[in-house]
Amino acid sequence: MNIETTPLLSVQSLGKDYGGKIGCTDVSFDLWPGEVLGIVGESGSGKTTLLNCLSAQFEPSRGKVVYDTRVDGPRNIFDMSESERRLLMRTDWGLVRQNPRDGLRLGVSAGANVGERLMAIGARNYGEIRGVASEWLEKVEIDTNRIDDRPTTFSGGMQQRLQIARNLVTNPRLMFMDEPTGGLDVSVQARLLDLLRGLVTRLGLSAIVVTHDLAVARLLAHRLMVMKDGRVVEQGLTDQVLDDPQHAYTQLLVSSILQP
Amino acid sequence: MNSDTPMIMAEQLGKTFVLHNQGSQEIPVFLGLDLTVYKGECVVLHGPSGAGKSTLMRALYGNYLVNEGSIRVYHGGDGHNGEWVDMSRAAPQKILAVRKSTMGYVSQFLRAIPRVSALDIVSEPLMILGEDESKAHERAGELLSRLRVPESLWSLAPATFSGGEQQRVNIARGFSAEFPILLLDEPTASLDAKNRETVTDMIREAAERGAAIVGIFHDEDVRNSVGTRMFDIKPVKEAA
Repeated sequence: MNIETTPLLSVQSLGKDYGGKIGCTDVSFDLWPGEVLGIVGESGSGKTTLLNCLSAQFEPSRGKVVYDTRVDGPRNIFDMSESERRLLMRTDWGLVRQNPRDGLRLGVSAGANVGERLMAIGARNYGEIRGVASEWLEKVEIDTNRIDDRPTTFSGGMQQRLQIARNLVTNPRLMFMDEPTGGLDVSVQARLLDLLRGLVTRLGLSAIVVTHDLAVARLLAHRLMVMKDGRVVEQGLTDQVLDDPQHAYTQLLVSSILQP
Repeated sequence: MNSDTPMIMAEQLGKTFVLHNQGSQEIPVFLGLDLTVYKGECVVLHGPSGAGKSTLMRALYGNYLVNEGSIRVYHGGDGHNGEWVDMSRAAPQKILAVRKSTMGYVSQFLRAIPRVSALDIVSEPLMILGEDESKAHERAGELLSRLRVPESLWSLAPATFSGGEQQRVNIARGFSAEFPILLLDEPTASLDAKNRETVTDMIREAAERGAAIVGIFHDEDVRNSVGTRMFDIKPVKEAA
């Protein structure tokens, strides 16, 4: 991880309300290049709402999300035009959803799922797109013989790996992941975690990972943010937050884990 | 060996655990603690169980927070672009940078990662520093051999290894990158006599190459053979 002077993402007093209720509020942090930030908390703590605002899925009620764009430097993503924001999401960013079916196109082949983002940024040569798609299937450990099969014929773990390949094909700098290992068997989870860890280290990606699984957070994240009732109650170095939690809620969370 | 060059300067450390979910019970661990560790020495933390030896060690590593004081660590290696980093309040990415190239920590237990082989676990600190894979594996293999981990196990993930084997993988990992500062929390706890002797030799060699070492050793023989200085930690209730 490099220490640089401009954060990749700078979040300032971000908040999102649903009617009169707070989804998340007063969230501020910087994410540095190569850094993986984990957001933990129980269901309803606001972590997915926050992720949806950060990744421009939702418009926040207040605050800024400033992203260090390749061409124009730091810009508030909500000051961009819709088309600029779309381009960013299709190229520089990746979004891995908890349910791979929400992040994949189920009606087309695995190869087309991976190739789609390349075509969206102008790739037209069928042979090249297929070649790159096949490379990425290999990197996420999917047999390239399955390139013409639809994702509906894949297991849950394979679908999740396909979703990751689909996102990484444009060499994004920032990945958003919502419970990437949720709903998978433990052995499948381990394989996916190992894969994610390797990819993040090798590609020097930055990532924001929402999870309720503290073991997943420990394995993937450099830094943790703990959320409760829409607010960040504690943040810091991952192992420090998990091993010496300061806030009552974090202490409760850490002490509630069953040891196998 | 420069025994007059400080590597760790901890000043006026105070640590109290507050258990919010148990009636906000406060457990004071230490107060007004000063510790300086120089290049080439092995400081043995000494005191009864519960006195806070591991807590101090974890604070030095940035794993535990302290309530008071500072923990300055010399980070930057060759002395030209070095800087002092306060582990008690540095930003997470700075603490990770110190752990990457300056400070190694060997705990009592290996935190095994699913699917990662013993050889890769030991090589990882070197790979993170940019060493190429074949050289890192070569060095990892040397250490594993020296610690008598059978070669047939190197390609396996250590989750199924015995306690002693896991411990030796952990030690090999801690020694692979030759960190300028080493923190050793009972590294010999579950080892047989032969391996204990090997680890003792490795610790002495690390001190000879100039590493600043802080250790907790249950075994009196190990303590006497590697320790160059004793540092007594008294439970805070007695001290107060």
